[in-house]
Amino acid sequence: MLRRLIAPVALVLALSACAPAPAPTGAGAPSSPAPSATPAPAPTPDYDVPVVQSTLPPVRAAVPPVRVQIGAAGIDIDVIPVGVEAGGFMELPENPAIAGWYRFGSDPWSPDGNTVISAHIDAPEYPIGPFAELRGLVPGSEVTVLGQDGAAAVYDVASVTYYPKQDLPTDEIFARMGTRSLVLITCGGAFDSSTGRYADNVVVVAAPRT
Amino acid sequence: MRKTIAAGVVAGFALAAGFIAPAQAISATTADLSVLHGIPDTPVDVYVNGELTLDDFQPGDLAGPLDLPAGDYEVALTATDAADASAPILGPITLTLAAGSSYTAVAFLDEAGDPTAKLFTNDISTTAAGEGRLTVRHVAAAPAVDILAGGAPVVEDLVNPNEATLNIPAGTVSASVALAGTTEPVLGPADVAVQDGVLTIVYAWGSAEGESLALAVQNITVGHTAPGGVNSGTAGYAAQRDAIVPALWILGIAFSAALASLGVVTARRARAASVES
Repeated sequence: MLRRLIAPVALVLALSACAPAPAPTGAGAPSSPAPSATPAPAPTPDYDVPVVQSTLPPVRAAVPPVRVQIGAAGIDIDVIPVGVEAGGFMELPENPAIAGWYRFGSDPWSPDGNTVISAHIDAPEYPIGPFAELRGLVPGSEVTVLGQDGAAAVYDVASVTYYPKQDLPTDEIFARMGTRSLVLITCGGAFDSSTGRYADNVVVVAAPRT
Repeated sequence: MRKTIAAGVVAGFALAAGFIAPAQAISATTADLSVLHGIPDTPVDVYVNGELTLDDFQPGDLAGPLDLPAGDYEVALTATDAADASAPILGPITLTLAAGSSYTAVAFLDEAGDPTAKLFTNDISTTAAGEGRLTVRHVAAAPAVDILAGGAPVVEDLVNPNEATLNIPAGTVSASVALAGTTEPVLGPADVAVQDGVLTIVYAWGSAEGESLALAVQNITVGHTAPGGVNSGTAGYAAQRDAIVPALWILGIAFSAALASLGVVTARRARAASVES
């Protein structure tokens, strides 16, 4: 860097020093290959700074997942986009037979980030949901996510983990960078009927099949 | 207590660890600097501390970000054929960059149409879950404006060289710029994506008189807030079923045992009976 910094400066100095003098002649100027009267070359930058046009950049349109299929668990569930509910929790469809995809995060075809899909294990007035079967998955099980555009993304289950809800690693789960896993979440563990809550989240992490 | 039903899969999240930092390369000792050229019709060379840093920088172009040690930097803009920074057309000006901050230096026209420059500080705090951040900056040779979203003013009376910042739900905003107090767009409407975890900066630049008004957009990934949790079961039916199934097993075993003992007793009785008979 320092060397490149000095080069144009030296060139400029040399040119200014020589400018008043006539073109050097004779053996004293062997290093001047072209004695023609070309103007001083403009300096060139020493940094390679990225430059882009500041016009409205095209924003990649998300491809919402519409279905999750896990043959090993007999799961074939519709998926709809969801956001955030009161209290800052991930919003979920009321019906346990429908899963929610966190639409502010990544989708399976995003260049980066986890795809997070969750469904109630159960809810009052509904049958127990398909995601109850997540608890029985074993590593290696195939998971297919279908996108709204008809594309299919295939994953292999890497882990099934029970986290006490207060210990759910939300930053890792909802990561937007450095990972492209599929994360499926439901509830599990003991149920506290006084709060209407399960103690744990069941988290399935599946790695994209390459 | 957390149990993972899988051997090698700490991998699941180990991969993610260490990637939570924002996309910017800002550290405790450096700042990020971007440069926007908002002076119409005037390509320039940009010198930083006397050193040519941007060659032939075109109006409407956005350079950077450069990750620079915190400190003072002297910036000068020259004609593109200048041999050095000794005859700037703008500057030299001193930019003071604080560590851990993000800046955009903008060369633009003031309201009267004269070239000037300003160092804007970008709000790179993480966004709330489900929200994005929109900053609008008036750097055009034009009077006060209103910023309209979907035709309704969301920022009023914004004057050169001021800015306004909104934290709003993620989504697409149909944004336009109108003279203050009016709703007839002088710029736009344009669809601006407001993304969760992203600061989108929209600049109105150019000259009203020169009919060169334009929008410039800069996106900076600032980091998002993950939802606080996932409450994915509210009835307890699955827990009941889980509890019932083993209970049935136990009942079943007890029942079978009972049946078996009953059978023995019956057999004994039968035997006894047969003896009797």
